[in-house]
Amino acid sequence: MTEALVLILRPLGALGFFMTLIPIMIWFERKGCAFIQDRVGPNRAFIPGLGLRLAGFVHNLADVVKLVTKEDFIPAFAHRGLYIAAPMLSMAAALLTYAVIPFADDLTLGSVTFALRAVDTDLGILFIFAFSSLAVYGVVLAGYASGSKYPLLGGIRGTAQMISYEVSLGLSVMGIVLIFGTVDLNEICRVQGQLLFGVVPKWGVFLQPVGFMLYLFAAFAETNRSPFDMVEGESEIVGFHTEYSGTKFALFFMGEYVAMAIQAAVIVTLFFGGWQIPWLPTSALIENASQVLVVLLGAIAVGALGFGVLLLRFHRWNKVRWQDERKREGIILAILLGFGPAITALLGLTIVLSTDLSGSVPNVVASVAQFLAFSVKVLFFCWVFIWVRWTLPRFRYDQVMFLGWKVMLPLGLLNLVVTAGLRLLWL
Amino acid sequence: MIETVDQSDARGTSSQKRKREVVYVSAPLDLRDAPETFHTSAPPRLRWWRRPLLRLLYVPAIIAGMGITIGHLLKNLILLRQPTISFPEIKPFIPKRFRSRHRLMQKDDGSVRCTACMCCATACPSGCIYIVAHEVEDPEVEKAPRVFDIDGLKCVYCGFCVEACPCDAIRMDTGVYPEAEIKRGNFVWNMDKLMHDIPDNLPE
Amino acid sequence: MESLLFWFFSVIAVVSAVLMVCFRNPLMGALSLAISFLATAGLFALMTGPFVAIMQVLVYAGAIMVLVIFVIMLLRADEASLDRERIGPFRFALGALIGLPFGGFLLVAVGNFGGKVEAATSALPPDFGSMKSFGRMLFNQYMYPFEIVSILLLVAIIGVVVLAKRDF
Ligand code: SF4
Ligand code: SF4
Repeated sequence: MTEALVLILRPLGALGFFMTLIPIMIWFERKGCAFIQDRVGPNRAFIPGLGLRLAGFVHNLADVVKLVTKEDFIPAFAHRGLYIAAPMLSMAAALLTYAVIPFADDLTLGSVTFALRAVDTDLGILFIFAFSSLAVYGVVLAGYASGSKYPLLGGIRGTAQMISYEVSLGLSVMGIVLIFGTVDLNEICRVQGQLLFGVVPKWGVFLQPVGFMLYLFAAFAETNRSPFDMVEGESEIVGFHTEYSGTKFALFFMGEYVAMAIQAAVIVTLFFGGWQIPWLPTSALIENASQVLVVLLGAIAVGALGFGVLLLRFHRWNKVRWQDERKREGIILAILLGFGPAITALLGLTIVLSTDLSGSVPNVVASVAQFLAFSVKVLFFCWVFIWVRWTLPRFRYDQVMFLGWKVMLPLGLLNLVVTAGLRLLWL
Repeated sequence: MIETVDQSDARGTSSQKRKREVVYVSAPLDLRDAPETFHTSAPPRLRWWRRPLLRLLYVPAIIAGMGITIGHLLKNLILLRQPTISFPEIKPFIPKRFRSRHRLMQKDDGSVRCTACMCCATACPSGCIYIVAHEVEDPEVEKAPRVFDIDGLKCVYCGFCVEACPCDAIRMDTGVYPEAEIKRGNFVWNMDKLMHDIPDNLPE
Repeated sequence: MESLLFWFFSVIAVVSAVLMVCFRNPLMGALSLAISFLATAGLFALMTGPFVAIMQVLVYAGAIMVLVIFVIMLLRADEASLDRERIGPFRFALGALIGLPFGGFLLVAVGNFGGKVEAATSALPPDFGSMKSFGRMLFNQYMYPFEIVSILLLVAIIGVVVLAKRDF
């Protein structure tokens, strides 16, 4: 019974994590780009009655309503079946990939130990590569099935780009595989908990800086994000989803963000220690669970308090600007997101300080702490994807191909050979 | 602007040191036409991310650019800066001579000052003034407009109508500019609106 | 459960393979082949060969078929631009001549296997088909064939470069 429950809950949990990242990333994208460009960004949509705008977060809800209620249009020249299948394929390929990413170290509850990832397999990176390589189908089919020239151009360009960069993507990871001697992502994370020269954590970036750079660039190209958004290229051709609208377009849109989130998770797992908290391996976490909990709750309390104060400042300045229900927003948010959590965390802190952790509670605490570390890292890399998009101009198509085949491929091969040589010398 | 020397120098007629005659010209369209001796400042020391070798890698330049963008973001985020105007609630400053929505002037007795001479309608480049004239009782007045409509969607705010009016009956100094409307028809302003729907404290 | 999955994958594999031959639109044909590959990968995974399955997805569905589709799109090989080919009795006979022996071999092979599948799986070592055992076998027992294959690939790469770069 428990086993079946775990079997169902694990994929659902992982799915929930990545689906939650979508609105957060869209919000990052909008608000972040606005602040980068000295604008305010979306701030109009609000929940009626409460006047909550959540700094533009409510626009996501408005988007959902808009996209779902929009007419689902199929152009006359489109190939009907493929036209409908393409967005589904795109989303499915993106959603299959998350299955092997570990969220925390294996959790032991009583006598059972289970891995905190959707599918318990040691295929690791290979699984990710296999299913992310299927993402091309969505682009190709959308381009072909739309029966229109711009999507076709976008599809062809995108396919060529994705095929080219998949090579560098694979090559840049091979160095990591050589060093850690496994493709199992959880195993890789575990190895990264050791220390290098006794000081720095043995993270992939420190062992494979070139590999990391190559992987980062290739990941941008794989997810079709700027500066490699040949697929979309909104200023030249509108891209492979020109003819799409409504829910189908939403699927493409979400697929892009999911792919991005997953690439961020893979980068974190391979190069930044995954769920590892630096200098604190799992055993240490479990031993000092109560201290960890105290630090965690304390950090939450302090952070929430600071956030609440910031929101109060926002409220002071907000209440004079809006003469409608929105003027109460700041104070509601300050209580909801700032002082409420802070008080809860402090309450939790007193409870923790007065009781002794026993049984499998320390294990759960360790897993939660690792999960939080993982989420913070993933969120940071999601932000990097967006940050780069709003900083760099798009490459020209021939530059993309040049970079892929004549710079990144040789560099990747060189990196692989050097890594293999060093590995032979020292191990 | 480029500083040039007198061209007679180039012909080599005199080896004497001449007083430099400085001529300011706009930048030449084709650089080959540029005089040979024009003075530019010494090439600036290249910043570290622009040095040729490093530039090959793109990476330093990318990092510098990312620094700039995150700087803007943090500045706006932490200082809660609002560099833009929240438009409908906060109106931007309108200068006094801004050509805004028209108004029709009134005589002392409150009737319209316009004499329906059609000068403005003739001058209007977009043909958006519709005037229908009629006779009025007052023997002093030859005629007056019965209908005076301006289509705000066609108007280009050129102000020619104001220039054309012989009796200063139309002005564009209300400081009002059209915002959103539900229907196109709402942008057609009739005589009543043009005469009475104007902010106070406008100069007579 | 497993036999259910087995039937699911096999039916998809066979049907899409047949469809691949039947479609007149080359793109649809290529797509059905890709689906057939994916279903075959599912069958491999059922036979405790996760590594082979993932390679099937990665190499065949993810790389080769994508290239094929890319070429089809690049050439814009639509139905309209292809000749109508008629399948006359002669061609049919030729096809049968080529196909029949192959089918016969397949039947014999499957017949030899018949009923022994259960026994075979139970006798397998526990890490059969996993990456580790696969790699160990590849680099110990089959070292030389592996190297020969890699040389073959190298030759192919050089050949492509030579062909693509006409003038030296
Ligand atoms: S401002 Fe120009 S366009 Fe507008 S009504 Fe007057 S003359 Fe016509
Ligand atoms: S507004 Fe002036 S120009 Fe136009 S019809 Fe009246 S009097 Fe003539």
